[in-house]
Amino acid sequence: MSEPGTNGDLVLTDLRKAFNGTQAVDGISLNIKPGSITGLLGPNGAGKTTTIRIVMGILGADSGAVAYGGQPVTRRVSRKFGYLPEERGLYQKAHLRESLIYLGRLKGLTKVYATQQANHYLEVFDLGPFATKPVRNLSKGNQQKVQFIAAIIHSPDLLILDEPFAGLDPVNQILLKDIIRQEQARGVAVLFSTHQMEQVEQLCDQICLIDRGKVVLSGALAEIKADHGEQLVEVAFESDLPQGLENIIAIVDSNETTVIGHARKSLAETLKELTSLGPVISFKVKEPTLEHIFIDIVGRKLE
Amino acid sequence: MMPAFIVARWEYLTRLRSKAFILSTLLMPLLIIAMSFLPTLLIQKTESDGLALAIVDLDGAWERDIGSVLDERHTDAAGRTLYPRYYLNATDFSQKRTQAIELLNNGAIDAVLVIGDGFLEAGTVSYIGGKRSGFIEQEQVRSAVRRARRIAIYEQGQISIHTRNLIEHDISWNSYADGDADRAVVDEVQIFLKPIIYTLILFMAIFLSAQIIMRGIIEERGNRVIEILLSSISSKDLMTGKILGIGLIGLTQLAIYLTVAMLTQLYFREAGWQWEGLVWFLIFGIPGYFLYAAIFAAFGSLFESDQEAQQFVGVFNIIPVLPLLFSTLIIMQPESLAVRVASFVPPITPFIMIMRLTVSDVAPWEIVAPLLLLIISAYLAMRWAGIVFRTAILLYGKRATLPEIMRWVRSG
Repeated sequence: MSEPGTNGDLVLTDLRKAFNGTQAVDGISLNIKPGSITGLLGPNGAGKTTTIRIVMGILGADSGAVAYGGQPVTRRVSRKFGYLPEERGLYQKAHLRESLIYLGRLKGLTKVYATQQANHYLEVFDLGPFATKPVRNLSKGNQQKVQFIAAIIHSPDLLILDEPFAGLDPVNQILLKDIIRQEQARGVAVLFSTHQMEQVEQLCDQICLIDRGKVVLSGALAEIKADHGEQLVEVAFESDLPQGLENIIAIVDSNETTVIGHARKSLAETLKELTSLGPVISFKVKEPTLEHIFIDIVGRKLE
Repeated sequence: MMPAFIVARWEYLTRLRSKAFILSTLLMPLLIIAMSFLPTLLIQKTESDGLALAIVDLDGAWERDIGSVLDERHTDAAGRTLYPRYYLNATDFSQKRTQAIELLNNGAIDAVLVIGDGFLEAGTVSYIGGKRSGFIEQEQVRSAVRRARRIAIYEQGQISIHTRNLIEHDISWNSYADGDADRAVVDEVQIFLKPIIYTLILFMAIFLSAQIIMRGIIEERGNRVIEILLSSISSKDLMTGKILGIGLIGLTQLAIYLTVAMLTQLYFREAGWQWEGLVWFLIFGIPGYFLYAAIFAAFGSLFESDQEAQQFVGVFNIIPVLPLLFSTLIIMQPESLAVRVASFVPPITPFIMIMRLTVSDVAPWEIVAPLLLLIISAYLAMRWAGIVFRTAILLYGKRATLPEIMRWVRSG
């Protein structure tokens, strides 16, 4: 087995960054392997975008290191990365294909290759008819597809996507997921940040959950779910939730008649005690969602 | 290709093909041509249609003399006078005056000329103009009054026709350039106009381009393209590329304007084109452009809207206007101590040196030293602007303070 940080691993070591005394990133460490999809999760303001900007070399870290394939990430190295920033923007007056060729050339492609790639992806994303039109003529969803093309036009070794699904309709979300999986199959490491947990659950092999600049949980998704899946139950009562429920279930989430939480005793004993509190209409053992795991760990919901 | 050159190429080509560039490039030569025709048109307009006049004097002698000068000078195609006089039937001077004013107020005449006692000695005369009386008419009447008085003085002094002619004949002033009696006569108007026109063109070239850079950066910051760019290339390459590309656009536009101006001059067979001025223009204009482009690029990275930025760059717009305000001093006394010292102040060096070099022979060291100082300043401005640009460009929603900027520059 190779050492971490070689063979195309992206390794973040104890990254720290403060803005005007506020610690935005507080000791984040992470290892991303080629061909893996990693979800960088956390609520708004958790430090996801700052971490990504440090990896891309847009911001400098106060301390810590970012290495790719065992080498520090310099501009030359980060040009191999594809990046879809959270703050989306394109040259509105410029023609679509020309914009893509320009952005490809900034990534080191020759004009001929950048043109080939632009044409290829415009067809894949069904944007061919707009190739010679100004970007401002495109719908918001189509502009988002253009930005995604700009991130992959140079066939990157590592793909960093900041909230890639925000604003996309379901059809285009599926298209984007397919392309991400294709990139993964090509051996590309994908890191994407989101606060949409269901997207992560569908795509990711591993996750890194951050809150207030710190990593609160990281590892393989299946293992994390297994670790946090013990005795998670969903109970629906016929009427309002009864008093004394907390003594039987450590509540993670609830509404008026339904509660999700960890059973404090065996499942049989828990069900028996619950029925003594009031009429139960359903009792299910659940696989924990990432949302529940997050609440479990940090004690509040994702915003 | 180096990233800065890719950015420069993009900036150059996208702007070259933009409607704004095509329009402004077409409009400016039209303006130059229009300005070439305008003086001719204005000169033609100096031929007045004349006006109806009443001349108030003591005994009608001045009315006759001035009237005959006007009739001699200003007639229409049919030989009719353009300055018909209204006959005043009152006999008393003050009654004549009152009658004339009434006629003026009624609109029967357009102007009243009042010549009192002792006019020959004192030369005092009053002109009361009505609505139709303009600057040209007043000047023509004044000139006729002056002529009539001069004739009266000659007659009173019994000065011979020969002496009169000698007095009337103006001297002929021939001016030659650079101690060379074979070189074309220099027009005095050109001596003043040429350096001012060069300075104005330089001012426009530098500031329009610098403003375009600032707006471009604000736009990229506003639409967030900047983040995609900075993930691919360094902020230094981005800023350098923008300054180069937009500078080339300015030079392209300038080349087009100069070609049009040159062709216009050739068409009108005016004085030959002087390439020397253009060479100085480029030598001082290019580092001047880099100096201001760097400052404006840094400002572009600090603000999120054009309006905000304009308030702060206002002071930089005023600095180069100063040489224009003092242009008379610079052109009249290009070698005075104040002008020579001011040549060493980098932000105004290009403008002052263009004016000085157009009107006088500047000592070589006084060309080289301010130029070196300007180049060093432009280099430092580019460096500092690069640091400010790099740090400020991603500070969304927060404006950097002056102490912060100073801290970045010191630590950069």
